[in-house]
Amino acid sequence: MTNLPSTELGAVRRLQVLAASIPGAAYDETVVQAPFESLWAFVSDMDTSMPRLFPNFRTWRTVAHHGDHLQAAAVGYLGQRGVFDVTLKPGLCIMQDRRFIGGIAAQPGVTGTRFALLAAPRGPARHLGAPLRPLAQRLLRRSARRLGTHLTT
Amino acid sequence: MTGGGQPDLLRLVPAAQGGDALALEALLAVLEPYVARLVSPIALGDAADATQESLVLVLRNLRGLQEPAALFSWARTIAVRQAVHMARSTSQTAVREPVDIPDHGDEQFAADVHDVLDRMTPEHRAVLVLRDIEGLDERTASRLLDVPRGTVKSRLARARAGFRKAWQQ
Repeated sequence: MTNLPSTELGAVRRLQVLAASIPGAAYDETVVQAPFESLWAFVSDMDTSMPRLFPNFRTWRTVAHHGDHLQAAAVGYLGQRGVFDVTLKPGLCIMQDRRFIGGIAAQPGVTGTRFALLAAPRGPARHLGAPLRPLAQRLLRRSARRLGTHLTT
Repeated sequence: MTGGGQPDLLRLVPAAQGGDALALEALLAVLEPYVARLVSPIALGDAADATQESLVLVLRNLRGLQEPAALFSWARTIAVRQAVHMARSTSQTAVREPVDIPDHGDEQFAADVHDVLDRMTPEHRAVLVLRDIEGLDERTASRLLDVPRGTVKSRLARARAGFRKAWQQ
């Protein structure tokens, strides 16, 4: 019965599912005028891309890489340090330390590459997610636009 | 029957319940093909939306799951009910867009199956999926669809007859 109709969500819808399932998550999506391959190559170079995509990171240093799992040491603008566990697959990236959850998704679209970002507080701060969501969404939108500009200039 | 190899549910479910986003993503990865396979023949043109909505319901309510090993049967109940609900509400109003037929196997056969299913009601498609594809017994299907066993039996008879008739045309 393998010929019955079935469907695949794609990376962006998967990130939407996670955003709807993680309490307090902020989510934003845009279309970037760049090929998926070059966009995802940029994202996958996380030591460079993370400080550009998420304004809370000053530096990001990948310290271990096994298959689609990474570990990274990040430093924030206020000097806070975090050890991140990351799942990095083609088109989808999820990361977390004990205070923060981040997500990135991309897939080829009709007029460009659909690109989506997720951010949510984790742990004791998770209750701040809902009240801070409008602010987080504005920051994500700004990050996505910055990426678009970076990749097309 | 699950959508792939049996994942480490005993580890992943409690971790995801505790707020581990990587475990949540791992559960999404194993649940998606299973839910899509169940939902697509019922929701047809709304398959992607029904799959997405079902997965949101499953993952958002994960804390209510007592027994990690029961994840797939629990997800099945949510997904089938959601698919029937969406198919029922859109079948009255929607102009269907053609669905993407998976690029494997005999595409014409898949299109024919889709066409035949499209002529049936969502309730008949659901009972056909549960009994003839998932292989559930009458009692389980009745509990899952929240209808009496007699209704499952009569719907299945009508669904099979309708499928055969439409297939021969």
